[in-house]
Amino acid sequence: MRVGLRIAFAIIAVGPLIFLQGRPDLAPACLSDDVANVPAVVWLAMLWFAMFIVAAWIPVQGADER
Amino acid sequence: MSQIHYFLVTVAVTIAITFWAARRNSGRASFYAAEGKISAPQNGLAIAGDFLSAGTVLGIVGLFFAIGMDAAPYLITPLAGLFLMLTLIVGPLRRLGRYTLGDVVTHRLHAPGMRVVIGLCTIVISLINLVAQLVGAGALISIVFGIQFNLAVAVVATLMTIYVAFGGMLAATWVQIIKAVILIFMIGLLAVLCIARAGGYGQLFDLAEISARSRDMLEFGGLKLGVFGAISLALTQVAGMMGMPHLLIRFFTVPDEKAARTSLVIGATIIGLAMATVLLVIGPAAVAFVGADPGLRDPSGGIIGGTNMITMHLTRLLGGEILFGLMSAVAFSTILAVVAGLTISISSATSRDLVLGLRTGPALSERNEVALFRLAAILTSAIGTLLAILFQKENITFLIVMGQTVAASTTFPLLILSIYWRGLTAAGAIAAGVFGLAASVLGIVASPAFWVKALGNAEPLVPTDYPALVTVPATFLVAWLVSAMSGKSETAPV
Repeated sequence: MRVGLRIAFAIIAVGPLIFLQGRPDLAPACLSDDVANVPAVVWLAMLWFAMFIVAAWIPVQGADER
Repeated sequence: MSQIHYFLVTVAVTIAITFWAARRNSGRASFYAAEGKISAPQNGLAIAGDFLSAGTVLGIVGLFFAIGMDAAPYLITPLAGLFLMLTLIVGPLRRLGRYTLGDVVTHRLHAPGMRVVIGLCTIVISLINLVAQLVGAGALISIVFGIQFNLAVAVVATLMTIYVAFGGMLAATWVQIIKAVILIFMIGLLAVLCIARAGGYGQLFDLAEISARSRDMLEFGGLKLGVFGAISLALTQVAGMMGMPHLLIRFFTVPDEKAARTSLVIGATIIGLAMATVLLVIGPAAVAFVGADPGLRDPSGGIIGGTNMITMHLTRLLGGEILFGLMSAVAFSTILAVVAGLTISISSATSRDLVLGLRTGPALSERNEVALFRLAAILTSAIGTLLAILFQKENITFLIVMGQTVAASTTFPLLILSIYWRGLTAAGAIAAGVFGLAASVLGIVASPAFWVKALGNAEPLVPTDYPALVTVPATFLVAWLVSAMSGKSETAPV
């Protein structure tokens, strides 16, 4: 993945988290619901962690060929 | 076995590692960077160990207990910082530097003043983090082992001096690796016990909801940061992580750029999995089980020993005295390993960056440089102990955020600019470093958390606890302005 794309990914990925911290009144109500007996917000947090772990394994384009 | 036996075993093992390393250490390259012989997986574990400090693991469970899901950004945004560190910094850092951050920022501008500035910034950041860790260590150890705070800090400081002065980076890295493996195992074991006790993962949240008598813990926004505060806190954590010297010098311990990058991928994976487990399993379990146990409350209704003790209480509830003793030993070794890494960061910045920057005569011999490194470790230990005793009532999270703010405003911009911007001049870098250091420290001192809560004034001088959103762009601006005014620099492509 190109460097610019990686930076954009990081900003887009943490953007909603920062937004929810700053403007919690605009958080969708469905975050309070349960999905498979587990709160949706917990699944969302798992998704955030998983996104960064998976993205870390995608090589920075051009970097490892040096 | 009681806690004291676990404590003695921990000390014996770590001292044995130190003397094993001391026999292998042959000079400057050993003490600063373990001769670059640490493999990528080993360094990945050491990086994870550095991140998974006692403050992080014990503190985050306590934070979830207190503020619920609002603790999530404290873990997810630093993970984003590690991802961006992997993208922007690790490769060039390993390619351009040998032992310290000073090697990187002066790779094309051979200005002694730049070395002094980055050295000072490294020392300030690492010292703030060291004090935070020592304050946490003193509080935790005094409760777990039943000794006085001052004695607890002195014991930790003495041990860290022995590790660093005799074993250097090799000893500090192996202590960190072993501790990381045991800590990860303990986090996994504790998570399994939590889910088993609750009867399933979903039931854990039902029990937590009953114990907390509310579902508010699963909602965001309880910190009432506002948009500015939320963005500034995120910037503090992302940029602060990317500029954290004791993490960055770990990349000098691997053979090459590719190993440095691989080690961070492994480290970030371990950190992500461990933090998700701490936040999403152990945190709710602490609310469900510790929160529901009236025997763990003090007369004022708070948790006995404070929120940093919640993980320890949970361990005792789920695994009895054996698991509690093991967790005490793990917490103790965690503290030792992290403070050793911070001490190395300070010692190497002193004996290399400050000496190369300030000394005008012939270069120091390797023998004298190592002697100075050891002396710096002893001085760091003494100063750290004194400051920890002085600031023992200070909030640990505040101290950690303070370190992150300074790193975000100093080492982060200096590294990014020296790696990627050919227009940076020595004057621009020095001005930016001095400005970033002064602005971030003043911004923190004037904040509500320090000016009002610590100093007792009625009104803060600035309205936020997180000044990074102002200080970080301002530091970049100062670098640009001064570089533009001081003319073209001698440039070479990275």
